[in-house]
Amino acid sequence: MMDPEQPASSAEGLDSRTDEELVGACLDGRRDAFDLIVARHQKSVYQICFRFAGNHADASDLSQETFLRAWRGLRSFRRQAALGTWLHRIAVNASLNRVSSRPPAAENVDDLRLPDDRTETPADGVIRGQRAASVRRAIAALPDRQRATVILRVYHELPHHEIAAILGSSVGSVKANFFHALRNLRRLLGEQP
Amino acid sequence: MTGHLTPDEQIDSLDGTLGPDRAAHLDGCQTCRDEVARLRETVDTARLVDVPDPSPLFWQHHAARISELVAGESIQRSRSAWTYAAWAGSAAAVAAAGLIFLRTASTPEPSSLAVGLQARDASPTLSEPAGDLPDERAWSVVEDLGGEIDGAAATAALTPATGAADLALEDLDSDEQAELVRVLQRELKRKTG
Repeated sequence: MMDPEQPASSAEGLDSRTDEELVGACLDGRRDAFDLIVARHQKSVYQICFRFAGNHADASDLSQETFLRAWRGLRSFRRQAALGTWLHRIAVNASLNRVSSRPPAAENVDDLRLPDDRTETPADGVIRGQRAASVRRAIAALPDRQRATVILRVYHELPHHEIAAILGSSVGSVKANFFHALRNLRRLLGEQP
Repeated sequence: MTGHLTPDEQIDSLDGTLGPDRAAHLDGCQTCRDEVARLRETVDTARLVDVPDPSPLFWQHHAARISELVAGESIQRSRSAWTYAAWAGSAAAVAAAGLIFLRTASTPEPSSLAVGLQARDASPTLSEPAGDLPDERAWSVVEDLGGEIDGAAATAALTPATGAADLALEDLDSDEQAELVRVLQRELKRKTG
C-alpha cells in the first residue's frame, strides 16, 4: 500500500532531490515539486498548527494556509535557513494570528488526549483526559512567545537555535522564554482544579 | 561563577548541556537541584499530551487540497498575465488593422503587383508617420495603441485570437472609439468614392 505521506503524483524524478533543489524546481515552474515539499513537511506543520489550535479542523485549515503562504512567498525564501524551519516559522505566525484573533475553542476531548494506553481502565482514561485538557488550557494561557517556545521545544524537540530562527529572536531569549514558560505552566497547572 | 544557576543554565541542565563547572555546583546545591527538578517535572507533564494522528487518508486529502489551492493561485496568476497579453495583443491587432487601412487608403491604387510592391517600399515606416495621414489625432490613436506593446505582447499579436479585435475595441475609451470610427468612416468614404 502506498505511504499516505508520500506524494501520489507526478513528482517523478524529483523524489531524490533535496528541499533546496525542490524549491529551485518550483521557481522553475514545476508545481509538482511543491507537492513533494508538502508531502515531506505536512505532518510536522499540521502538528504545530494543532498544538496552537487545539482541534483538527482549525489545524487542517492553518496547515493549508501555511503551505499556500509558502507557495506565494517561495521567491522570498532565504536559503540560509532550512526549508522546514521556514515552514515552521510560517505555521507559527499563521497560528498565532489565528489564535489571537479568535476566542479559545471549546475543549474537545477526542481532539486532544493523552497517548492511548490500552491497559488503562475507563476511569483512568477520564482522569488522563482531564489532565490533558488542563495542560492544554495552561499552555493556551501562556503569552504567545512562551507558548510557541514550549510547543517547538517540548513537542517538536527543536534545538534552541532553530526555535530562535523560527521566532526571529536570539538563543538567549529562547532559553529565557522557555524558563518562564515552564514556571508559568507549573503555576497555572497548580491553580487548576 | 559560584552563585546559583541562572535561568539559562537551568535550561542547559535540562538539555544536558551544562558546563562541568556549573554541573559541579548543581551536584552540591539542593536549591538548584530542586529548581531543575521542578522544571523537568513540568516538561514531563506537558509532554504527556499528544496530538492524535489523523487517519492515513487525511494526509492524501490534505496534500490534494493544498495542491488545488496552489493550482488556483497559478491559474489566477496566469489568467492575469493572459488578460494583459490578450489586451495588448488585441490592441496591437486593432493598431495593425488601422495602419493597414490607413496605408491602403493613402497609397496609390496599385495597378499590378509590381507597382504595389514599389508603392509599399516607398511607403512610410512605423516610426515615421506619413505626411499624408488624415491628421495628427488619428495617428496618435494608432501610435498610442502600438506604443504600449512590449516584445512578448508584440509576438502574441502576430497571431491574434478570434474576436480579439472586438475585445480590444471594448477596452478603448469612448473618445478613442469615436476617433477610430471617424477615421475608418472617412477612409471608407474616400475609398468608395
